[in-house]
Amino acid sequence: MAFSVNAGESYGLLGPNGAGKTTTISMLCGLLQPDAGSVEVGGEVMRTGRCVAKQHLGLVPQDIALYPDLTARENLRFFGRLQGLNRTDLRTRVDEVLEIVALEDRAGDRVDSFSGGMKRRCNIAAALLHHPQLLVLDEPTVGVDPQSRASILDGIAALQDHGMAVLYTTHYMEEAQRLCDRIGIIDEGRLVAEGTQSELLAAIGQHPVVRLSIDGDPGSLVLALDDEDQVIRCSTGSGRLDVSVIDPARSLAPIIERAERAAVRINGVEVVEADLESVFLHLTGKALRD
Amino acid sequence: MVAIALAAKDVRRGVRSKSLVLTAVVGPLVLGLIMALAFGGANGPSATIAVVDLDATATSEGVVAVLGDQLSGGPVSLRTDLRDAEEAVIAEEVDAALVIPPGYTKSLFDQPLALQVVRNNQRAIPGEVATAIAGELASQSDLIRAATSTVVAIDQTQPPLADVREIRPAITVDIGDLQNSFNAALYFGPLTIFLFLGLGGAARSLVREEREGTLARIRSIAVSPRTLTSGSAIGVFIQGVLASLVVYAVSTVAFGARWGEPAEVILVLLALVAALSGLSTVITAASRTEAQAEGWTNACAFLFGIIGGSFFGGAQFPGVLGVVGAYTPNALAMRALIELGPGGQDLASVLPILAALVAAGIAAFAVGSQLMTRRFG
Repeated sequence: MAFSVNAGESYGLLGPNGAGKTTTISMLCGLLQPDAGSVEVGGEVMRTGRCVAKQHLGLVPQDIALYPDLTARENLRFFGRLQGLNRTDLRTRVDEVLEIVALEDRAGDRVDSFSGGMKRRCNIAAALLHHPQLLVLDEPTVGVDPQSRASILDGIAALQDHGMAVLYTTHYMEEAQRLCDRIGIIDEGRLVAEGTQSELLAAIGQHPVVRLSIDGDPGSLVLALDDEDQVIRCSTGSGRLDVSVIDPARSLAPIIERAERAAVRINGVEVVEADLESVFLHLTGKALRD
Repeated sequence: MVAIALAAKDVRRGVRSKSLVLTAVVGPLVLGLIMALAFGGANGPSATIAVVDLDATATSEGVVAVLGDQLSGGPVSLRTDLRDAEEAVIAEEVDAALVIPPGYTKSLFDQPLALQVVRNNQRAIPGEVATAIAGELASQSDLIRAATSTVVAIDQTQPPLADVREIRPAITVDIGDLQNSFNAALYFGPLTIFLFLGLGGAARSLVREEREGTLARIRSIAVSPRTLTSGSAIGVFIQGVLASLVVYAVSTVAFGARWGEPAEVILVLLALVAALSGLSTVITAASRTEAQAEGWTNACAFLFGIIGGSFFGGAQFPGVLGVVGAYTPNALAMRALIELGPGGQDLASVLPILAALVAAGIAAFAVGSQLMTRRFG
């Protein structure tokens, strides 16, 4: 397995349960020593124990890694001190990250009094105190309500805009599609595919489909579309013609024009986008939550 | 700096944790109070001391009379025969015996003569009371010897023995204070056991953090494993000190317990906490799971408590168990505390005990730290 995450980039690591995501993240964060190979963060080699590479990394574990009997501010001050922040920087940074995750008003409350979404946000805040170059988020929105999830994803996108590299694992495909510039799919400890969403879709032959509801025989239209550049293939059904295309926006007009010429009446048009779920299923033979 | 931050976090959580407060503070206070009420009220246990007057002079009779006065006609049983006294101690008719040897009066003008104490190992505290009385008598005898020597030096004449009775009031032993000094044992015994249990919980913090997930975050930060375990150990030690000081203060102020000189008591408590912190760390490190560590800690605490006499006012088992029990941290610390009581030894004489406790703590911590580093590194 080999992959890299660049500054300002968001990289999604997807895989079914047991694929090796947690093991990979554990090695990335210096919690496990790889049997072979190496991990570099900010040009420094990562290893277990104390090492410089860890100063460039912020980990948001899957579980809430906070002390429930301490307040949000006490938690952040503690982790900030471990990160080596001095007293002045610590006070400033704690206030800043509380603002980033919108918990300024609850800073003095114990974490065990927080809702699930607030705990998740505080969990992220603790990883941001030292301005890491790489933020590793291991399923950071598990069990979070839609409103908090949107807030968390917006916050991560903002960090990415400020040049932070983000490595993201999730079970929610829509999150990966929304957030990640590139995606790596792992299965049984191996990286089985990597690329942008459209690259992955193209690699497995998954394309958007223009679905036409039609009257009459679609055969003449199928023949008419045969030499159209944007069209990859056609399949027919009862009163329906599915046209796989490269780009729906550019292919829609030629399809309608050819239909008129072929005297095929179109009653309705629907564009069905291919998604990562189908890519994932194709590559691993499993649904993401298996 | 990082180790201090780790320790401060553990202390903060420990102080907020009801379980630590209940275990290490409320537990010993409540049990101590119950024992104090059960075994002689708030003033602590009573002790019956036999005095064997083998000198049988007017002076030695005077000493016995003084002891009788000081004890308000209560716990002194006069014997004239050493064997009779020994049998009485073994049969627990009396708790200990103080022997005034033949030639005691003569020794006031000559070479010092050792006073003897007959003790029952299962009645450690009365034995210490008798030893303390003997120590006090020896000091008073030294004063008399110094005074008579001066007279001899000036007048070159030896004062008649009858004159010695005239200085009898100088031989005073505050038995009441001696007895009261040991009522702290009723709180100290339970404290050692409950403290062990409480510190075991504190020492398991790293294992607990591993389960809760916070350890993964800490390990992803540039903190060395040794700093991690050191911080944890410092936290355990501080929590132990705080808990024992609270028990010391509350039992003194609220329940009238007499522990002895505050500075000496604090030193004993520090040494005890060091030993128990180290033991707690090594038990946790050697255990595979949190539950296993808790089980081992509980077993050790109660075993130490029983064979070390912490539940029975210092009583010790006969034979091998008694020997082993005498070297448990709780028994050593109690011995130091008793020996430091009024009329007892000075601090220098118990330093070896305190040093042994601290050394045991450091050695146990070193082993535990090594195991922890291997586990959490």
